[in-house]
Amino acid sequence: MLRSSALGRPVPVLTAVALPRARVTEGAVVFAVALAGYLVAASVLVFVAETMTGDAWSRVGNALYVIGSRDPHLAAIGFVWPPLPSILVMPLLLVRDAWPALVSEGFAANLVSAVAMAGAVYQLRGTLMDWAVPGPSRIGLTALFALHPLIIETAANGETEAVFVLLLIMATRSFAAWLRFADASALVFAGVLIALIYLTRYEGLAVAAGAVLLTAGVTYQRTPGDRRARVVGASADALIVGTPFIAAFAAWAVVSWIIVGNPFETFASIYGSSSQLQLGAEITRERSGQGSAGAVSHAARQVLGLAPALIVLVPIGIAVSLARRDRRSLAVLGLLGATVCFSLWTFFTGRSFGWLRFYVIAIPMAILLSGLIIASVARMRQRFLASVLRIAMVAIVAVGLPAAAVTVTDPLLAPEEANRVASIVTGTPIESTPGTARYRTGGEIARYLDALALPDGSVLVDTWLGFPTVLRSSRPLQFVITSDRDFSAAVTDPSTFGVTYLLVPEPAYLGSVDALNRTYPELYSRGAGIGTLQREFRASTSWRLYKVAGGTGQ
Amino acid sequence: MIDPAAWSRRLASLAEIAGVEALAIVLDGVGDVRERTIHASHNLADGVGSLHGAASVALGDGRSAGAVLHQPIRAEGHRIGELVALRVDEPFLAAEATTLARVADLVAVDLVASDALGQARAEGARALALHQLSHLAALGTDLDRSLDEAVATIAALGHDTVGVWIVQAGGALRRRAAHGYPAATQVEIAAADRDPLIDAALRSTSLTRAPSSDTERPAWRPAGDGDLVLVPLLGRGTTLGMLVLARTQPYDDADIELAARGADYVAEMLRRTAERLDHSVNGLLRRAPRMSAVQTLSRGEARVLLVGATAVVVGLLVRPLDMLIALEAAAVATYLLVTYYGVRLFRAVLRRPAIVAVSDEEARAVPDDDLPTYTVLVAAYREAAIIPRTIAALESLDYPRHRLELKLLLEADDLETYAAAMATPRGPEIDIVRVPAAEPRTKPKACNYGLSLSRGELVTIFDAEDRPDPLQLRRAAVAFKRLDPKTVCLQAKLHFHNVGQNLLTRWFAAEYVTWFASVLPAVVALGAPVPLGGTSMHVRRAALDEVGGWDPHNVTEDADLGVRLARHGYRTEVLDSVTFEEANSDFINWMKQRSRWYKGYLQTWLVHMRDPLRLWRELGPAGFLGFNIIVGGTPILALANPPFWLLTWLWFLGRPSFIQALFPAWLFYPALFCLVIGNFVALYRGIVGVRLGGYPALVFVSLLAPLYWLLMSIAAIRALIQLVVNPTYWEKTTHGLDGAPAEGTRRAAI
Repeated sequence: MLRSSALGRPVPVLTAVALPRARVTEGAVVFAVALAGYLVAASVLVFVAETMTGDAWSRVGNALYVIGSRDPHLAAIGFVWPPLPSILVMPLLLVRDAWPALVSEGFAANLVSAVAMAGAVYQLRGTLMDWAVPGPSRIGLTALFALHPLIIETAANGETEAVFVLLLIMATRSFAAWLRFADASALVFAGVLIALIYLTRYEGLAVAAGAVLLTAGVTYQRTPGDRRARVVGASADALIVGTPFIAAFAAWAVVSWIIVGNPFETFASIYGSSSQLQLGAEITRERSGQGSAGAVSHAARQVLGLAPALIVLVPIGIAVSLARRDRRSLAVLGLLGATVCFSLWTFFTGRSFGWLRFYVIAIPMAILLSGLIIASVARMRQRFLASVLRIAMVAIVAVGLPAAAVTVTDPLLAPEEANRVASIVTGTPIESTPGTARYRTGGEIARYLDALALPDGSVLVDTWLGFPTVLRSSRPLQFVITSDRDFSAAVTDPSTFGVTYLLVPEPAYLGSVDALNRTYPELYSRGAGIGTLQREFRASTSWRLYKVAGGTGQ
Repeated sequence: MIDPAAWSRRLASLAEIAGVEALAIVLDGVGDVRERTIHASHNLADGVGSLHGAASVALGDGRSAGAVLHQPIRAEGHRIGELVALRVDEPFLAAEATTLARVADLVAVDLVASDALGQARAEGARALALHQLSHLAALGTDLDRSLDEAVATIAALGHDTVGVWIVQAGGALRRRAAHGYPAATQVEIAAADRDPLIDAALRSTSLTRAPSSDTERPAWRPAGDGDLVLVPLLGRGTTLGMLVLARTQPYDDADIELAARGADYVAEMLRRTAERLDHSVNGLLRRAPRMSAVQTLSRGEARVLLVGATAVVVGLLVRPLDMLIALEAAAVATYLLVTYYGVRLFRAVLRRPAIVAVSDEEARAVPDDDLPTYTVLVAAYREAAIIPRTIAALESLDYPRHRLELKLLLEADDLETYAAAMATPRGPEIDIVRVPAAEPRTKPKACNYGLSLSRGELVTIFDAEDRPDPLQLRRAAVAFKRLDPKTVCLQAKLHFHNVGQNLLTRWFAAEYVTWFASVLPAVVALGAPVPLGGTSMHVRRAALDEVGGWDPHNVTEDADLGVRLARHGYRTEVLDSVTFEEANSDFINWMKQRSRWYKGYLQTWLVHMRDPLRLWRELGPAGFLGFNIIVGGTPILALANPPFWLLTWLWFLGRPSFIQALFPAWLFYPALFCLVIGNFVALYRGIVGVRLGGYPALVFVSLLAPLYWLLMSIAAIRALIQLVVNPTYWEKTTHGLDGAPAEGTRRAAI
C-alpha cells in the first residue's frame, strides 16, 4: 500500500498493518472460535478436573498481594519472576468479589492464558496472511496450530507460555516485515515487543540477543557504501531493536535493586530458580538423564515429539530462502529458533528442569516455516508442482499431530503436562499430582482459619508454599505474608509483633526454604519454644499450625 | 538669459545666407527637460513637435515648407541639439548639407557664447537633480546613503556653494559636509531666536552666531560675505530636521524656491523612513494589540499569576506538605499529558507522514516568466566576517534575477558589516538595506522593515550563515502553485554542515534531524500549529500581511508567526529541501541561543494564551493541545525537570524518608510511570528519529541525550530570568565558529 504526499509522490508504508476489509472477518472468526475452545478447556481443567497449575496460581497470588493484601503496594508483585503476567492478571482481580474463583482457583491466570493463546492463533493467521499464504493452506495451518495438544494445554493452564507465544509471534511478524521492507517502524514494533517478551519470561534474553545480532548482520549486508557506513547503519538498527529491551532490563533491575536490594533477584534469590534447581536437580537428572549423552536424546525426543516436521522443514526452509533470497526465514529461525536453542542450552547446563512446555515454541516454528515455504513456492510457474508442495507442507505438519499427542501424554517427557492433558481429556482430577494435593490442603487450612474469625494480621505464613491457603481463604487480610513490608519484623519476633498463629510446612525439599523453617529450624518438629501445636494438616506436604506462646494477640 | 527676438533675428539672417526659408534650433532635452526650440526666422504654427518626421511643416505665415533637413549641432565634443532647415518650394540637394553643417557650427559657437546652453543645461540639471531627489525619496533602502547623495546632488546645483548640511532631529545629530568642501567654515551669523533645532543645525555646520543689528535682513546670515538658507524638513506635524545651504553669493527667490523643493524631497526621505520604522516596530501592535509581545503578560494573566503565587506562598506557610503535594500533583498531571502526547507523536512519526516534495526536474521545468516574484530577506548584525559567504550563498540561488528581490538587512550603525558588504562584489539584485537604529533591536523588526520595501508575492528569510539548497525557491514556488490556497507557508528542513565538529554539534544535529525529518511532519499530521524555524520558511506575502507581519518584540518571531498563521486558519507544511546552517559549537554561544529560544517560546505561549477560549476556537482542540504542549510545554518542562531529577537521584542514593512523605502512593506510581515511560519515549524517539532521518551515525550521541536535556534545563532557567528582566533582549549568536574560510565559494554537498 502506498500513500502519496500532497504532490503525488509515493511514500512506502508498512504493509503488515494494512488488511483488506473482507479478510478482517476471517480473523475475527478464528479468534472467536479459538477463544471459545480454550475457555472451555481452561474451565474443564480448573473446575471439572480441579487441577491448579502451581506457578500460574502463585502468580495470581502475586497480583493479589499488590491490591488485596494487608499491605497493598506495587512492590508486592515480587521480583523473582518477570512482572508482566501478574500485571495482566491484576485488572481481572478487581472483580474478584463478584467471582471468588478468580483467586481461589486462580482462574484469572487461566483466563489470561486462554485469551492470550487465542490471540496467538489470530496473530499466526495474520502472519500467514502477510506472507500471502493461500486461503486453504492458511486455515489448515492455523487449525493445526490451534488444535495442537500442547497448545491447548498451554492455553488452559494459566502459565506464562501463552502470553510468551503471543508476543513472540507478533515480534516475528514485525521482524519479518522489517526484513522484507526495511521500514524502521516495523523494527520499532519488534523492539518494543521484545522488551515486553523479556518482561514475560527470561527467555526474552535469547530473543533479544537473536534479534540484535540478526538486525546488525542484515543491515550490515544491506547497507550500500564502505565498511564504516555499514557498521554505523548496523549499529544504529541494532540499537533501535535493542533499546526497548535494554530499557526494560535496566528498569527491572533497578527497581528490583531498590526494593529488594539485588538487581538480579531471580538468579540469586533464595526463592529463585537456582535454589529450586538445586533441590530438584536429582529428580531431573534421574528422569531425564541430564548431564549425560542421554540428555541429548531426551531433549531431542521432547522437541521433535512436539513438532516432528521440523526435521524436514528447517532444511527445506533454509534452502528455499536461499533460492528465493527471502530473508523472512531469518525471523523465524532467528527469533523462534533462538528461543528453542536457549531452552535446550539451559537444560544441558543444568539451569532448567527441561519441562516440555519450555519447547512449546517449536510448534509455531514448524507452522511458520511451513507457511513460509508455501508462500515461497506459491508463485512457481508449475502450478501442479506448487499445489503438491503446498499439500505436502501442510500434511507434514498434520502428520506430526498424533506424535505430539503421544509426547504430551508421556510421563517421562512431559511430567507436568501429561497429568493436565489427561485431566482435560477425561475431565477427572488426577489424585496423585502435587497440584491437586496443594489445592485440597490449602482449602482445608483456609476453611479452618476462616472459621476462627481472626482479626487482621493474626496468622504468619510464608507465601512461598503457603499461597494456596491465602488464596483459598475468604479472609486474606488475616495473614501476614512475605510481601508485607513488616514480614521480617514479624518473623523475627512474632509475639511482640502481635501475630497469634504461625503456619509452617513440612521442612522437606521445597519446604526447607520456607522463611519460618529457615528462621526456626525446630519450629515444625517441636515448636522451637515459641509456639504450641494447635493443629496438624496431613497431606503429601503436611502443615502445622502453631499458636504463639505468650502472645498478646494484638 | 535667452532673448528669443535676438535669436530670431540671428537665425533669420543665417537662413538668408543658407538660402532657406526658415531655420530652427532644437536643443536636446537634459534629464527631465524636454527638447526646447529656439524659434527661427518664422514662427512655427505647430510647435516643436511638428519638426519631427512630418512631410511638411506649417510656417506661421500660412506657407507650408515641403522640404525639411536636419543637421546635428555639436559643441564641446558631443551633440547638443539639431538645426532644422525648412524650404517651401524646392527639395534639398545633397551638397547643401555641408553648407548647413557650417551654419550649425556657427550656431554652436553662438549658443556657447550666449550661455543659452549653459542656462538650458542648468535648467536641465536642476530638473534632473529634483528628479534624482524624488528617486532617492522613493528608494528608502539606505537612508544614510540617500542623504549623502541628496547632499551631493544639491551641492552640485549652484555656484559658489560653501556647504550643504542635512540635520536630523532627535537622537544624534548628523553632519553632512558637501562633497569637497571643508567641514568647518569661518562664517558668522546673526542670532535671533533660540530654536534648539536651529541651534543644533548651526552647531553641526560650524557656523556661529553673530549679533545682528539689521532687522530687515533675515535673522540668520553668515557674517561677512555670504548667505545662508535654512529650510525646515517637515513631517506629519513634526519637524524631522533642517536643510542648511550656504554660499558666498546672496540667495534669490528662485534659489530659495529650489531649495524648498529639494527640502521637500529630503523631508519625504526622512518621513518615509520614519514611517517604515514605525510600522516595523508598531505595526502588529496597532493591528492586534493582544497578539503583541511588547508586554509579556496581559492584565488577566498577571492577575492569575499573582493569585496563584499568593496561594502557593500561603499554602507553603500554612500547610507545607500538602501544598508541595498539590504542586507535585499538578506537575505529574502535566507530565502525564506530555507523555501521552509524546507517545501519540511517536506513533505519528512511525507512520511516516508525507511532506511536500518537488523533484529537481519539476523545479526547473517552469519557465522563468511563469514564476512568481520572490523576496528574500537576510538579516545580519555584526557579521562582517561571514558576509562574503552570505552573499555567495545568495548569488547561488537558482531563480531568475528579474523575479528576485534580495534584501540584505543591516543595522544602520553596524558600519563594519556594511563596509564588508559593500566591499564584496555582488550582483545588482542584492539590495543593501540599512535599518535605522531603534529599539527593539531584533531580527523581526529588521525583517518587517525589509518587507515594507519589498513587493514579491512570496517571501522567505535566510540567516547570514545559511547555505540554502539552490533550487529551494523554485521548489517552493512550484509547491505553492499546486497546493491549495489555504497552505500559505512551507518550512524547509534545516540541517548543519558542521555536524561532526564536536559533541555539542552532534547533539544539536541529532535534535534538528529528528525535528525536521520526523517530528515536524508528525506535528502537521496531528493538526497542531507549526513553530517555524526562523529561516527558510517560505510564506505567501498576502497572508503575511494579513496576519500582521512579524512581532518585533518576540525573540522567537518564527514560532509566533507559525501560531498566528494557524489562528487565521492557514496551513503550514514541510518542504523537502535542505538549508545548511552552522551548529553552535561553542557551549556559551549555544546556551545564549537556547535561552533565547526558550524565552521566546514562553513569550509566544503567554501572548497566545491571553484569550484561551478564542485560541481554542481558532486552533481547534487538536491545535490547542499541540500548541500548549509544544510551545508551552517545552520550556516549562525544561524548568520543571531539574527538581524532579534531583529528587529521583536523592531517592536512588539514600532513600531519605522525606521523599516518601512527599510522594503518597497515588502520586508515586504515576510519577514513576512518567519518569520511566516519558524519558524512554523521548530517548527512543531521538534514536529512531535520526535513523529515519538518514543519519545513523548520530544514534550514539542520541543515547547520551539526557545530558543534553540537562543543558537545556540550564538554558530554560536563564530564559526565565531574562523573560522577567529583559524580555525583548536578543542575545546575539556569534557565527563563523565552524572554522571555514570567510571568503570563498565552498558549499556543502546537499
